[in-house]
Amino acid sequence: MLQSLRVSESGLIGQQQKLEIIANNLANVDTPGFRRILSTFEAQAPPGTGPGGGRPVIGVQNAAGGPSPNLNQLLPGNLLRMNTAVDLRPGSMRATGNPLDLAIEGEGFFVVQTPQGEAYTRNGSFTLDPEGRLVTRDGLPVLGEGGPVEVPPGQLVEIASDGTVRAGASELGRLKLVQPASRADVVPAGSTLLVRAQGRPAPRTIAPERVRMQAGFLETSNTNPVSELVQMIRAQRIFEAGQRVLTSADETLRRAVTDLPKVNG
Amino acid sequence: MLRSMSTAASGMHAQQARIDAIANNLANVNTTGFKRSRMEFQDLLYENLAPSGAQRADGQTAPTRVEVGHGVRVVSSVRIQTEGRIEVTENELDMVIQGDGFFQVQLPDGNIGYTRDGSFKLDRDRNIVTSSGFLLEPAINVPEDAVEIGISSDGQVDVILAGDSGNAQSIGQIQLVRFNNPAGMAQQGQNILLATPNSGVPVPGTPGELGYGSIFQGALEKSNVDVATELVDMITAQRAYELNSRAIQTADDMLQTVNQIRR
Repeated sequence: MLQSLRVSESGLIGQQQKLEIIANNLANVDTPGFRRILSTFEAQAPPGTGPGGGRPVIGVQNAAGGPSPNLNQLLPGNLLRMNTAVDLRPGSMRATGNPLDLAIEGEGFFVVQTPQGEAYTRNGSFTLDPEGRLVTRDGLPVLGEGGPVEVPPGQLVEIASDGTVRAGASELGRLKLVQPASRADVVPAGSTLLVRAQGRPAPRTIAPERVRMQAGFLETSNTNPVSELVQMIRAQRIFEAGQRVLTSADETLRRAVTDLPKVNG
Repeated sequence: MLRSMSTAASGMHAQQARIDAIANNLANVNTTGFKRSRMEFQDLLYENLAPSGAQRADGQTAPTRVEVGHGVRVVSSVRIQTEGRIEVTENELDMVIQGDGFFQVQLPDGNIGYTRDGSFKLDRDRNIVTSSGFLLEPAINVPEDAVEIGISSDGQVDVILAGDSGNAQSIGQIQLVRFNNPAGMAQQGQNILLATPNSGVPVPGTPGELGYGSIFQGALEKSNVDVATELVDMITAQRAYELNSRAIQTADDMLQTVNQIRR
């Protein structure tokens, strides 16, 4: 019975975290290049009860009287554990008319140089810094194939759909796009940047002939308000159900403590 | 739970800033050469709630993480550089730049300002000035006895003098400048923009030259504010505001549920 208190507690905390993630997705419904955070739940055995070892999970034993590892995933004693990932699906495009606003068509992320290393973004709202380098709104240089792209003073640049930055006839560089192999490879770092997840492979560079981008456009957030709202309702109702379980477990325990001695006595 | 509330509050704050920008756009719907602006947002920092290297049910060390964000912030307001609609005025000193580029004007503090507002006038010394009295740069002086002013698409300013039997005489050349990042220019009011490190340095050129707009006399560029678009934006901003308030309400409901655990 104490186990069910613990299980419902993990369920309540899980739904609470889910709401926090939904609130963040909704707050960024209008953030260019924002990638929504997906959250999934998985069952997790209580600490110290790995398969084939550890103490048996309450109530279930195999024929030999030991713990039953095969049933581990389905056991009522499992706790709820949340996992988040970045939803890499694209948002829609919005015209801005600014020649330094870039939207990526299809897959790919811009690479920007941060003091902590490379970061990736779909937010192509760029500007120039005092040295004439192409930078993000936070002043982080956007990387081309040969490093930051620098615009010589007194020249006008044009960014072609293949990412080539030209000033007149001369080529200043070519913007690099990368794509993570899986959404587990990147984690959000704020300021619409993603960074490589610890211990995961770096995103691969997209072949130049497959790079497609559009100047004068920005990509919108990929948050879908409808699905967020539906998930919010779900989270709330599951939370309420978890509370009921907790309350009735509490009630049963109370009876066990107060009523049973009377019956026996 | 309290985190959801402050996250959603940051979302409401962002939508409020967006409404402010829309209100300013709508107020300037008839301002000559005005460019609408929009608010730009970025997400805030994330916190990893899952302890790293946690054991998963199958005994492996899971790459699981729980990245919880903290909402949104306003980074900047950005001008949208699309061209405004053109209104014919038949006024011979009204000019439109059809395409990219800015007029240069001499500001009283000695700096050069940039504008797309082509509603020029003559001052008492018969110099071409903006409505606020800033001299067009390079300065053009219209002779006293000019009866007609003609401005060609390449910016050549000609006059026909009284009694000169229709012979045009050149009195100056209008120059345009372009910027790599016009959205990075600073707004000074009175329809004047200033160059900043973000906009890049101005690149002068002749109207009609490759990449530069050509001059059209006798018309004005109105604002690029489209009332329908602004209203649609206003509706989406309001709904997004409501969505965020819904998240606060849900968090509140869940807190209430927590309070019912122990009756």
